[in-house]
Amino acid sequence: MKKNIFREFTKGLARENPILIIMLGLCSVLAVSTDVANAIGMSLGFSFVLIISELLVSIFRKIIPDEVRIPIFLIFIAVPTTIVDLVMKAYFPSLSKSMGVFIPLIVVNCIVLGRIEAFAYKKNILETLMDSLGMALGYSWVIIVLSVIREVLGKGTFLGLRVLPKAYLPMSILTFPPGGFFLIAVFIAILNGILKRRS
Amino acid sequence: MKKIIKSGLTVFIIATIGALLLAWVYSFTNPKIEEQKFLSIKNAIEEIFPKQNGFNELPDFKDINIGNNINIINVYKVKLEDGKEGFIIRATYSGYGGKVESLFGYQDDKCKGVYVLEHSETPGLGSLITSKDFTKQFIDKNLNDPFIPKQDVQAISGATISSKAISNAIKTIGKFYLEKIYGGKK
Repeated sequence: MKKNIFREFTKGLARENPILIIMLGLCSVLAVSTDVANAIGMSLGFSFVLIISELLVSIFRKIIPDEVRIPIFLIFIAVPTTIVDLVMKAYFPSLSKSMGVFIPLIVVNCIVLGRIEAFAYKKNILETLMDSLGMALGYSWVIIVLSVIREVLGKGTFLGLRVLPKAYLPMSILTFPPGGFFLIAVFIAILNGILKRRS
Repeated sequence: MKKIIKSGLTVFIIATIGALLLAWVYSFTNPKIEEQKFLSIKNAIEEIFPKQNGFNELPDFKDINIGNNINIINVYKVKLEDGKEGFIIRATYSGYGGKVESLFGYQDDKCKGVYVLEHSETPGLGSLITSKDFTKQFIDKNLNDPFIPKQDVQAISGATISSKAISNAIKTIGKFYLEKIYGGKK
């Protein structure tokens, strides 16, 4: 039993990683992972929304009528998203400015709705907590590692500070969406290679 | 029938609780957001005109549409330390991803700087219109220049439309400034 719960947590990190294996919500991943600061902000906002909304759905799953579950899920996603948006605007104005429209767009991020529909609606609170933590962490590490590579090699900076010498010619393709796609493909290839070798 | 009422009521109750929760969060974040906005305007004005003795809003210029989707929200007159006057025009215009709100600084027949307050341009590309590396080229630029990217304006690679939008806004608002504010005073 205990081992099962732990597996619900670890599956999000690699085996069922939301970006690399399930491959959902890539649009905002590509857009936000150009900067390390943006990626960290997005990870925090996304994790908050995912964990809160998955837990809410799991807690109320017995009283949510099946026919109207999707509107209710959307309320459970939209409320925490709006809270994140307002709090960010009030206390981290510069971060919220540079993230632009992608924080409010967490509402329509398919990872959140996907996890709710596929997992939280059917499982108990403890399993859901583990799942949401694992998925949030799995999302965060991929987007942050991506952003480090894209910012350092694509712009020569790290968190806005120059780390590579001025003579370094930035590979600006990495800051564009196609470059992001190439990187994600490389990540998927590496992860699949490791997972195959293990099994 | 009973089922419909039950489902409808559940959605209603959950939506109401959600709305109340949001209203509560909004009630304490909104004053902070407004404060941040005024602070960012004040900081931006001080950045464009570092040597100044305060500024005040001009009541005659409010909500003016000057065509090209450019809308002037308000105008500030800045008293400079050397006795001269600078003007800050706060305006919105269309960028690539929607409305952009910026402050434009003018003095005599020159642009003294731009500061982007709000935008929804593509992060990492169009959003670079906020960076100093891009906006510093407009400082002390003569308003009779063409303001065309790739000619006299260094465009952001991958964000031609955003670069064009901001250059065009400086030029168009500059024309308005020269005719109605700077010229009108003479």
